[in-house]
Amino acid sequence: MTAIPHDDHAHHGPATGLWRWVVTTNHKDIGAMYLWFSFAMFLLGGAFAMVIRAELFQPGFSLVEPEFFNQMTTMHGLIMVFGAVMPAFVGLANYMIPLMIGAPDMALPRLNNLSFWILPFAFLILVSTLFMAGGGPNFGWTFYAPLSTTYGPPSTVFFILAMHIMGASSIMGAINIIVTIWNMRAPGMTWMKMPLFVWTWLITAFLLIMVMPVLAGLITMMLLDITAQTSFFNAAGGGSPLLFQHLFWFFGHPEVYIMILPAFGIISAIIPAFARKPLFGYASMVYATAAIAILSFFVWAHHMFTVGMPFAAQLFFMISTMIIAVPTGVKVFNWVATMIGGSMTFEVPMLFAIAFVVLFTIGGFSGLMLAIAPVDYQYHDTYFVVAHFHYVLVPGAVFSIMAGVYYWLPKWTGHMFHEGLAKVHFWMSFIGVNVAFFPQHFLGLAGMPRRIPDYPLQFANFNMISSMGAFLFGLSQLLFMFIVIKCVMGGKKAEAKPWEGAEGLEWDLPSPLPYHTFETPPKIK
Amino acid sequence: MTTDAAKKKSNTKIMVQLGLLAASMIAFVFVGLVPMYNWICEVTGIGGRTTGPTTELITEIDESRDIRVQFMASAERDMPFEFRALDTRVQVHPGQQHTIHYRVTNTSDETRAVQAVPSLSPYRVTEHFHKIECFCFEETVLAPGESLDMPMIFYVDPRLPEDVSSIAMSYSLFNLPGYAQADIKEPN
Repeated sequence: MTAIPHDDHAHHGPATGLWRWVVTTNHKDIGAMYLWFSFAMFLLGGAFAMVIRAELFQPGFSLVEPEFFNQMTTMHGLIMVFGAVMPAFVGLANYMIPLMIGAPDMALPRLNNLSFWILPFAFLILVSTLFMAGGGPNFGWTFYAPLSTTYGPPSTVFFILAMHIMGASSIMGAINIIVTIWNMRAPGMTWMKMPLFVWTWLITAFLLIMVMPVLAGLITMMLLDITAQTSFFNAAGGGSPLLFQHLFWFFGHPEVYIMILPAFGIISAIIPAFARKPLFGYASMVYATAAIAILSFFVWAHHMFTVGMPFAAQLFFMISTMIIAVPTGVKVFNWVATMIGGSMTFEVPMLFAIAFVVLFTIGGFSGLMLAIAPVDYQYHDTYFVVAHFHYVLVPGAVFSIMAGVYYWLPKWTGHMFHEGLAKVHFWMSFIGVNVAFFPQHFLGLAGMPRRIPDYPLQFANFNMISSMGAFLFGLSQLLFMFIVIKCVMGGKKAEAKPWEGAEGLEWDLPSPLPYHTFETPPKIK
Repeated sequence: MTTDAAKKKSNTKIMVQLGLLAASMIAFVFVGLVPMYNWICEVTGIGGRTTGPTTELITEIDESRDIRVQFMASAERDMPFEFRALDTRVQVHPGQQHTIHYRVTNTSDETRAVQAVPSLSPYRVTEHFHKIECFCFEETVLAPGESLDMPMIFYVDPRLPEDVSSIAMSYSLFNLPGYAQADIKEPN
C-alpha cells in the first residue's frame, strides 16, 4: 500500500482527495478552479439580475424593498465584473497559455495557487455584507464618493477589504501570466508566432498591473475618508467628489478593456478554425490590441461628460474615444475577412463566435453614440447606457467565454459535449440576450434612468419584454451547466483534434490532457 | 539543469520588476494623480474652486457694466445648522467692492466646527472673482445655539468676459470631520 502514493508520484498524477485542490500548483487544476468559481459567481450574479428584472417586470414596488433593489444592482455589477468575467478569463489563461506556448506550467505555480485561493474569501466577504446591519453596498458598482463614503452603509469597509483582496489576486495573476509568456515559450515560439489569445492576454496583464493599483489606491482613500477623517473626496476638508470619478474611471476604462481584450483572442482562435482559413491580418490584430490598450488610458472622462467639464476637455475625450473605433474596426473587419471565402461550418463554438462579432459590434456602435459629448447629455445614466455595456459584456465577453469553453471542452475532458443541447443553449442565449437588452435602448432613449426600482407607466411594455428575455437567458445558463457537467461525466470520445481546422500546439496533445504536458518543449515549425 | 536554474532566476527578476511596477502605480495615485488633479483645478479654476484672499489691487471701476451676483447656501444633509445668505442678490459694477453676509446658526447642543466651501458658476469667471475677505478661508467654531453673521468682501475683475452678466456663488457648509468626536467625546 505504501508503494502506491510513491507510484503516483513517479507518474506525476494528481494527488487524490479534496486536499489536492487546495495545494495544487498545476496550471490545469488552477485554471479549472478559476473557471468553476467564475461560473458559480456567474450564477450568483445572475440570480441578483433575476431579482432586478423580476422587480422591474411591472411598475410599482412589487417584490423587494427599494433599499434591497439598490444592493442587488450593486452586487450584480460587482460580482459579474470582478467575480465572473475576470476570473473566467484568468482561468482560460491559466489553462491554455502554457499549452499554447509549449510550456510545462505557469512560471510561478505557487503564486498561481495563492492568487486563486484568496479569491473565494474576497467574494465570501463581499456577499456576507448583504447580511450585515444596514445591508450591503447600495451605491452602484461604480461606488461614487461621497455616496459610498459619507452616505454608505457600515458594511462599506468590508466591501473595501473584499476589493483589496480581489485586486491583489488580479495583480498576482497578471504578473504570473506576463512572466510565463516572457520566459516560458518553447524554443522557436517567437513573439509574432504566438496565438492571439496569448498576445491579448499579455497586453491585458499589463493593463491589470497598471490599473488595479489605481483601484487599490482609490479604495484606500475611501477607507481613510471613512475611518480616519481624511478628506480626499469630502469637500468640507478641501477634497473633491469629482476627484473620485476621475480616479475611478482612470481605472475603470482600462478595466473594461481588460474584460474584452482576451475575448478578442478567443474569437481570433475560433473563427479561423471553423472557417478553415488562417486569421486575416495577424500582425494588424496584435497592433490593434496594443493600440486599444494604450488609448484606454486617454478616454476615461467620457464617462463623466455631464459633470461640468470645460469644452476643450469634452472635445478631447470625445475624439480620443472615437479613435478607439479605428483599431476595434480593424479587428471586426479582420474577423469578417477571415470568414469570407472560408469553408465555414457552424459548430457551437463558431455560433457563439459569430454572435460575438455581430452583437459586440452593435454594442460598439451604441458606444460610439455615447461618445458624442453633446448627445451624451441625453443618454447619460439612462437605460441606453445599460443596454450598451450589456451588449459588449454579455454577448461580448460572456459569449466569448462560452465559445472558448465549448471550443476547448473536448480537449479538457476528453469527451465531446452534446451538440444538440449546446445548440439549444446557444439559441436560447442568443434570443434571450437580445430580447433582454435590445428594448433597453428604447427605454433609455425615452428617458428611463438606470438603477431605479420603479418607473412610470409608459415604460411598462418594454420592461416586461426585457424581463422575459432576461429570464430566458438566465434559464439557458442552467442548461449550460448541465451540458458542461454531462460532458465532464462522459460522452463520445474526443479525438486529439476534434475540430478539423483548429490550429495551435494544444491540439497536438491527447484528449483528455495528461496531468503534465510539454515537459520537453515541443518543436515549433 | 543549468538553463533551468538560469530561467528560475530570471522568472523571479521579472516578477520583482512587475511587482515594483504595480507598487509604483499605487504610489503614483497618491503622489501623482491626486496632486495633479488639485493643481489642474487650481490653475484652470475648473469646478469653480476659488482660492485664498486676493492680492491684486483694484485699478478702476467700470460703471458701464452691471453684473448680477447671486448667493446661495446649502448645508450637508442631516446637519444641525441653519445656513443662509442674508443678501441673496446684488448688482455690482466691475471693480467695485461689496460686502455681503451669510448667517449660520448652530441648532445642536454641542460645540461644532464647520467649514464653508465655495463654488462659482460659470467656472470661467473663477479667476475674475476676487475675495478680499471671506469666512470660507477658515473654519468657524460655533457654541450650542450660537448664531453668527459672517462677512464676505469681494469685487469682480473689470477684465470679466464681455458675455458674462450674471455670476452665481454657492457655499456649501460642512461639518469638519472628526471635530465633534475629538473635542466633545473626549471625557469618555
